[in-house]
Amino acid sequence: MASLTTGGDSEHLGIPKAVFVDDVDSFMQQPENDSPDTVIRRLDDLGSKYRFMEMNLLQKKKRLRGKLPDIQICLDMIAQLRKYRDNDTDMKTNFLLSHNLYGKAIMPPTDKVCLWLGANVMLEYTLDEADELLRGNQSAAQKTLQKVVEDLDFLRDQITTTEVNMARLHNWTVKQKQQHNRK
Amino acid sequence: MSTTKDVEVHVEYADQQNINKFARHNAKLTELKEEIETKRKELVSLSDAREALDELSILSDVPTAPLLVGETFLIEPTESILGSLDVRKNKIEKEIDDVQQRMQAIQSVLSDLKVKLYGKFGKSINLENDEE
Repeated sequence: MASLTTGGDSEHLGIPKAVFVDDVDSFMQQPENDSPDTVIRRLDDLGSKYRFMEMNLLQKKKRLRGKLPDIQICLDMIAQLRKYRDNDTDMKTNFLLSHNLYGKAIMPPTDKVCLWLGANVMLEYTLDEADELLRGNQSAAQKTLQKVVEDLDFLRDQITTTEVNMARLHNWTVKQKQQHNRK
Repeated sequence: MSTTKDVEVHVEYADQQNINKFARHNAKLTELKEEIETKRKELVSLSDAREALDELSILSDVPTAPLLVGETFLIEPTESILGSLDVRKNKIEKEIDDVQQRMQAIQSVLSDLKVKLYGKFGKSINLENDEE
């Protein structure tokens, strides 16, 4: 594969960079590119590998994007709790018991809220602390998402380069055959 | 996206860079289109909620109504709900504006690249989206 990619890019998860073929003639002169068919197959292989990576990254992106609204809802709710605390009023709610089934509750003003930390652990925080923690999570998730988006951009470049290489190699082969037939 | 090389035209590294850039921006544009669609839907549902609340307060003298925050309804006085709805509406309107601006920026990059690439490769390159 040495001729199709250059070493992994440490900035982008070590994704190998697709080589741009400047001149197909001299590219095909390279010793490891014996016949057009095998080279096209290798490019195709490379393309599927890129696509596999793209799929993984897209999934990761989807997960992160799903997480962000959840965090936002928690933050909104904390803002509400804070409002009730500051006004010193009871909070009347219908809370979700199960899908489409709501219970009624009246909550006295509170300064405490419990956050589900995962791994079967829930911890009590004051509203301010919970807000701070959630905002931290939010910006971390945004940062990771940003990174994933950049990696995806990079990956897409490699896919496009590989596709163009394939198309050009294909055309080159056709041209070669035409010339051959003419002789 | 399919690209076919014209036999006469040599693809240079700069062209490849442009093609990559085009593909990248094109993908981003599709993504933003989806994003703006969901945001618009949310805006509509917020406006609907406002209208319904207005009607409710005209028809009957209900001082409170349940407002859905996440998965939980908060029973709130109608005025404060109107306030929350407006805050949410303003926020989403701003977000829509923001996305629209980003889309415009991308669109101008795309048409720029189209001129360049079509100018060089003519009919041997296809830069149109299939669904359009």
